[in-house]
Amino acid sequence: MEGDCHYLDGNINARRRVEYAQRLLEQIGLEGKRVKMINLSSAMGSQFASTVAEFTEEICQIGPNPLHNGDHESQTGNNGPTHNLRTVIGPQME
Amino acid sequence: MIIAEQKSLDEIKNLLGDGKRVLVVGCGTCVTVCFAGGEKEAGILATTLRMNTQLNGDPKAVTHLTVQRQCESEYLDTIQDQVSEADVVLSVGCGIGVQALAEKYSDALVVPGLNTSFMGQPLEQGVWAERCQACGSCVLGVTGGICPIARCSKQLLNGPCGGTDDGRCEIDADLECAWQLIYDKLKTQERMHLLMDITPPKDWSSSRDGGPRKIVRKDLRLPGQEMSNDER
Amino acid sequence: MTSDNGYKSGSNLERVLRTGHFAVTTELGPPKSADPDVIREKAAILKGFADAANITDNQAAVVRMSSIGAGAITLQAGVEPVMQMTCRDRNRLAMQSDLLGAHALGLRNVLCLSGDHQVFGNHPQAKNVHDLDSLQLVQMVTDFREKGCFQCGEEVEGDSPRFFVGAAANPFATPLEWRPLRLGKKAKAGADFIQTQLVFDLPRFREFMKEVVDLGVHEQVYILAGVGPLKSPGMARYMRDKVPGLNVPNEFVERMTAAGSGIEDKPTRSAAWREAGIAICVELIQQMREIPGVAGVHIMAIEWEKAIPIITKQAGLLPRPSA
Repeated sequence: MEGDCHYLDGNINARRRVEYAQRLLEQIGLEGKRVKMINLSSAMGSQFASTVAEFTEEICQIGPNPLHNGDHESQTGNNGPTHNLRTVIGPQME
Repeated sequence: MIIAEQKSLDEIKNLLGDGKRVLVVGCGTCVTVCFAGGEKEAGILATTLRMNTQLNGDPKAVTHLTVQRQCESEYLDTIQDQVSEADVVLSVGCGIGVQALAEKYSDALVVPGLNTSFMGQPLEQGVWAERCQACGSCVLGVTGGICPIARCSKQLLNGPCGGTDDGRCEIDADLECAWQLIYDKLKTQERMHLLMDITPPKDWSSSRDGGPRKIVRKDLRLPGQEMSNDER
Repeated sequence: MTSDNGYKSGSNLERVLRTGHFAVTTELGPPKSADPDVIREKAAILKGFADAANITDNQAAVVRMSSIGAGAITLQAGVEPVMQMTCRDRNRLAMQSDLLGAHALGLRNVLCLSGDHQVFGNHPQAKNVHDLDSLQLVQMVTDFREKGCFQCGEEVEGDSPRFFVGAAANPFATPLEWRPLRLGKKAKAGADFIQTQLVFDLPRFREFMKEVVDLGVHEQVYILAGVGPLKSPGMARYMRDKVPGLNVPNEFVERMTAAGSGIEDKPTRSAAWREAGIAICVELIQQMREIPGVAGVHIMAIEWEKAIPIITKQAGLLPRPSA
């Protein structure tokens, strides 16, 4: 499936970005394992479900994000620490 | 162009010291093109510092912005407010940008986030190599367009030395021997006589060895500007 | 500007070469200490077995006693030194200053080298100098003698130093076809003698010398072929595989291995290897004598000065012409 992306090598580029995000998280002091990339096609419904369940379990094992106050109202828009990371890594990693 | 690399996070944190409010200043020119200190890198570094310092229980308030060219003071005019609100300014411009910022905002504490390394060019995505040493008296006309000052590890002018190994420099098999390249080029150009001439010792006084350099172009000076000592 | 019967420097090495003898030079490596006795001991081993001994200059970019200091001690001990000077550690001021000092101390031979890059040595963080390259250094040293002036053009006060000036050549470094021409360039710069890097590949060296002779360079400089005894098959393999430009033919590796095979006792096996290494060295010297354009040999036995008396004896190079 890797390389068979509808967008040609889109999923290969995505993997590089995910790996970069994992390294950044490690550098910051969080676990890189909190971000994961798996290749699935739209026809693989049951695998999708089991994969998500498995990953949810993994995340529960790792534990809550220590930077997340759990209090959503106190998070200010773009200056919330984790929100900003997603925003920065997303479309700008072209 | 100028090629730089980010310092390690640990080194940057040491440089920031106890400063709580940090302003990361990126530059839109050379360090953008070598992915070291542009808008994106400044943003990621700011976020990284914010998250990391919060995790370590000593959170810093880190914001960032980018100016088009950090080395020219006109571009720094617009950021006065943000600079004055910061305890520490972390510049991810090249060494020139850091100094320009520090000079412009002499009351601010400005620290470098990059190690400025060399003047060079990209060879392929993610790979840059040194090409110019700014020696001040360019010899490229007699070396087939290949610089022995920047690319020969011993800066020979009558190379190669005896250490060339299969066209590679003795210090690193990934480094091409500059004199092998010069030899091949001059041979193709049928200018081998240049190799047989003995190039005399270089006048290094035009390079950094002669002291920090300055160029004054009288033709570009504006009326009303103070005359420098050279012009009197 | 010559005196002493037309000799440029009056050094022993110069006299030996000019009177047509097959010259023998060797190497005396200074210690990583300030102890003059180490040098005196080495000089005592070499005395009478070579026409001159090269005093290396921070060889392999490892700090050792200076070649000018060690050279002066060697001279006092009765062995004529060839002071090596690299371009790596000194600018033109320090070089000229050292040359004046060396001459004042009685040294008369200088070998001009680029120098091994400091990344190889024990101070890789040092700034490297390379104000001049080896060609320019050759020219500067010969200008002392021929023009009586410093590199800046100023006249030297009194008698200007007159050295017998050498340079190095590596016949096996790329670009190969350029090397004989580069040797010619060194002759043009004023070099009096050349010492080559270690030669094990005699057929390839013969080809190199043929090109040198065709260019007539052998009449402009005295060429001494580099040669040295192997100590073990490991050393032979290392040189063959890891040292650029050192082609060690497989037959030598095999001979070294065979020499020690079947010997269990380490000291005995080591001695057998060394004997074989010396034998190969002697054969190479004898063959080099027959190659047109070769005016002598430069025998390098690193940290094994005791091999020199044995090699020179077996190769029929003794007695040396007296100074």
